[in-house]
Amino acid sequence: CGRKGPLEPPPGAPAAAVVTPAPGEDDDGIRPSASLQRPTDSGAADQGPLLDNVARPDRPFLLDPLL
Amino acid sequence: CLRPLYGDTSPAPGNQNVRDRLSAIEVQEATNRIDQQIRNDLIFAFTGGAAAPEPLYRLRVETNDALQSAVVDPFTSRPTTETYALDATFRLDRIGSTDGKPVFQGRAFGRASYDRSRQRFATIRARRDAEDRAADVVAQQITTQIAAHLATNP
Amino acid sequence: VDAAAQAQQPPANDLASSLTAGRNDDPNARMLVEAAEVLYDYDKETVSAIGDAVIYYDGSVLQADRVIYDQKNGRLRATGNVRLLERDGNVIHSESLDMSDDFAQGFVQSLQVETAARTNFAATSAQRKDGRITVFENGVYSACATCKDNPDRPPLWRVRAARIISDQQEKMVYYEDARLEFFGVPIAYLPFFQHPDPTVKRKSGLLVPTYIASSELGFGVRVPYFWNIAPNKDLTITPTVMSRQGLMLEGEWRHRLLNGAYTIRAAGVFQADSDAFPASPFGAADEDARGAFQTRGEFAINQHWEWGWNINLLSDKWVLDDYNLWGSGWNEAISTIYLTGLEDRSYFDLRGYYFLGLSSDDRQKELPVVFPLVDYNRVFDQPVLGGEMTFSANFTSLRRLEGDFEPTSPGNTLALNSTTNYTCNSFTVDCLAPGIAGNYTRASADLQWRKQIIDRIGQVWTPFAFVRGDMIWRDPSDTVGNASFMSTDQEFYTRGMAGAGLEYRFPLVAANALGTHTVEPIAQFIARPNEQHIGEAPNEDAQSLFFDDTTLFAWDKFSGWDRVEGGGRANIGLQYTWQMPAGTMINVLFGQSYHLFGLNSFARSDAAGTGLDSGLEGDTSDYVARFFVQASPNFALASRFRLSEDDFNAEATEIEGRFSRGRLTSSLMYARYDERPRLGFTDVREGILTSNRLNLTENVYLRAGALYDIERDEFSNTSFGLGYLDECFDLEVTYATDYSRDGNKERVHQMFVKLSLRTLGDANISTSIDTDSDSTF
Repeated sequence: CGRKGPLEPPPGAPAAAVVTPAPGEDDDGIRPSASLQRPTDSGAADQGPLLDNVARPDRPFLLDPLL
Repeated sequence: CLRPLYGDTSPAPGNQNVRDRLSAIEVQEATNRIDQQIRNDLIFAFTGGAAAPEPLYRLRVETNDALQSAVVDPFTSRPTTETYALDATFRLDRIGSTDGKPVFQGRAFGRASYDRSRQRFATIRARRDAEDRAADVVAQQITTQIAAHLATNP
Repeated sequence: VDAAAQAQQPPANDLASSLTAGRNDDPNARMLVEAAEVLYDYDKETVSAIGDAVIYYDGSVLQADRVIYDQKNGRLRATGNVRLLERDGNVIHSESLDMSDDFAQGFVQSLQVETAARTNFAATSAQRKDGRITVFENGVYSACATCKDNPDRPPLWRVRAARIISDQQEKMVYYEDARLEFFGVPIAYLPFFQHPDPTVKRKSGLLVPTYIASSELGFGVRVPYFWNIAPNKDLTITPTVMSRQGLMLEGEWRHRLLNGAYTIRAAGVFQADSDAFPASPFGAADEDARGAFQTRGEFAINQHWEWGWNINLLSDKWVLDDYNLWGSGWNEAISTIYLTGLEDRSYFDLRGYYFLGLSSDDRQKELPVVFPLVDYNRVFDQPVLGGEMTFSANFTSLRRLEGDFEPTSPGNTLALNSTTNYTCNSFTVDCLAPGIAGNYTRASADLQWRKQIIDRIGQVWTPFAFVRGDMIWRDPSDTVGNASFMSTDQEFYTRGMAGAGLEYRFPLVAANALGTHTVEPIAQFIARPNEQHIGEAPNEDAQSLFFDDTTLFAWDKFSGWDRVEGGGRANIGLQYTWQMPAGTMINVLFGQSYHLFGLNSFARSDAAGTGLDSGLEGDTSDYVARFFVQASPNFALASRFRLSEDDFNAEATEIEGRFSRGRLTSSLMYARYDERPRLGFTDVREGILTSNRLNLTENVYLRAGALYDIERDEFSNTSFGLGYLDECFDLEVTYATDYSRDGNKERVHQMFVKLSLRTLGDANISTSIDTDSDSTF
């Protein structure tokens, strides 16, 4: 029989920088790559989160000035 | 006996009063809307809106939330009034401390209820408002506990 | 199939790399021999190491009482409590071992192998070929730890087979002529059986079937086939064969890209026997072809932005519940497309919504389509005038085809062409309109400023001010009923609000043996002009008004942008926090709100009835209070009250407790909401929600949960569970009963059996038995 495990990043994808700074350490605000949505509003609870440790590119975006 | 929490007449004249030490707390960046609401509330409670001095402490808040209701309409199987439950644990560390022992840690929680109806858009917006209200209570409880701790442990 | 393979850390080598690297032997590895006594026999060309012999070779370690190394034909024979620790973490215990000198070919008598994933093989003999395949003759495999004090006691489960072939290259384990044994008693015969090596996370093949038995579906089995196309792509095809409804086919496609992932899934069935379900409008009796489609996606644009979607299309309201698809408790299927950005102190969200109402009283045309919906919130980094400035904005635009009119008294109820959906007989009395048909668009922006000043003696003064503007385009359709609530001609108007206020707090603290006490009187005064255009436009996002301890000190007590609080108001309260040395925290807040001057926004209701029976309509509001206790992680109490200002009658009570002590963990929520006749709640709503878990022993636990409707004196749902959990075996039996009449012909009893043999796979059995004849309603 088979085994259905979680999706893995595509081959050749850069390792996602999951940064959880140690308590005393400086936190330079790199976003851990978890999704911005909270589980309570993601709808299909049975599938679980789609975005965990995905690589977040470092490129500018049109609406960046808004933030 | 009772004395002002933020009073300048703190026992040891030399020590910084509670307000200065509070505003030297840097709150770790949030990764979702509700944690950001808590963070914005905390930053105001600590600094009163003034510019923050060089940080001496770092505060980290971890939250998880749930929806719960004890009154469900048997004919529509929909809750008629629902409560948004937000639970948080927080940990205050001195920046650069190497022993990994926190200065202070504790828990806080907020509950906010709202009415649900057949109009799902109204329900979603009511839930969003309840999230903000619960976050405000969590921020208030964290501030009170940390301020009381700093006031009684110079 | 659950591959929980926590690797056991053998001391000798680096397990993680060897597990994945496969067996590439280091060609110039030297063999190091240590023993009490080493004898060289030149004519037989043998070297014998006698007495605690230890041989290190290429990362593996061989220990035995006696090892004879036969150089002529390159064989190594070890005898007497042989222990071979392989480079990839497997540990082999046996009586005798005969292997090639490079450890690749080996022939082991009566051996016992513990693999890195804490599973173990035992066999009378084993043959290892070219470092890849290990063949166990009449071997036994189990994931249960052999019990230390008497290893011969049969483990909870094991698979005994004439031949077990473990292929480390292909990472598969094959069994020939195998028997599954529980406590040594054979219970299932499997002529040929295979499963992936425990360390494998993704492997194509059949997944464990789910057995179904329900009055609506009949007996059936659900057998998913998983196709592992690539580490980031897979497809799962799941046929479900049911005795009463025939064949249902389900497909799920998952694909992960560089910066995000999306899934598409669909299910379809031509149901053979539709009248297993209630007739419309209570159920899907008149549907034959039924199906569901869902797609979800989340993509990261950069460090602070992401976008995504969650779209659901269903053939009817009940298909997800009837066929137990994709989770449970579907009251609505909300489809949304969103773009969200978040950084430091600012947040942006652009979104659209489409709602599918799944309760029998839902009429699809009454639910709005919302696009675009923009929320923006930004706290300025630098102080402005020495204080904090916040800008927030909202843009809402929606369309609704048919009006949603709710009668607030039984007398005014009119059934809409015999459906379960009711509208108002008369629109002018005892009738609310939470959904106005037509188009509605509003753009709002709000600028807030506040500054906290602490004077010398510790009083905290927080002056604040805010200004806000709304632009409203309203276009109610002139369908029946709308005119009774507002004019139906198309209009554009603006609405403004400004306000200034002061919040005064004087926190006092005392530390004594009992802990730290903080007493904080709070007073807040707000001056504003009156709210304009009340009720002239639909109220879509501020319908719920729940006056409690969290709204007491809000500058605007409405829950959305469609209403804005006006007039002069004072909010007074007292907060007390007690922190005990042991860590227990008690937090109490008690307060009341007073309408000072101008128009009380909560006394003038709108089409949705917001403010009615809210406790804020009078000049002095009801009392609100909270009493929280947090005593260490395993006890918490959150209780909140609204007491009527004239006779202290409990208008709203919520008491929630969470408690865990020793073997028992339980949570309970009691809620009671008094009648709110002007909102249609003609009787009290009172209920208890509880869930409990009792660990009988270290492995066996009991679970019980229920939602009980005190007012109707009946259960809404109950569930009881019994479970056994240890390092290799997980069994949980749950018996759940759903009393809701929504979409069910009668009370639904369901039994779920979840059985999991770690690394072999788990089996789920769900049966739902509708045996109660007395429950038809």
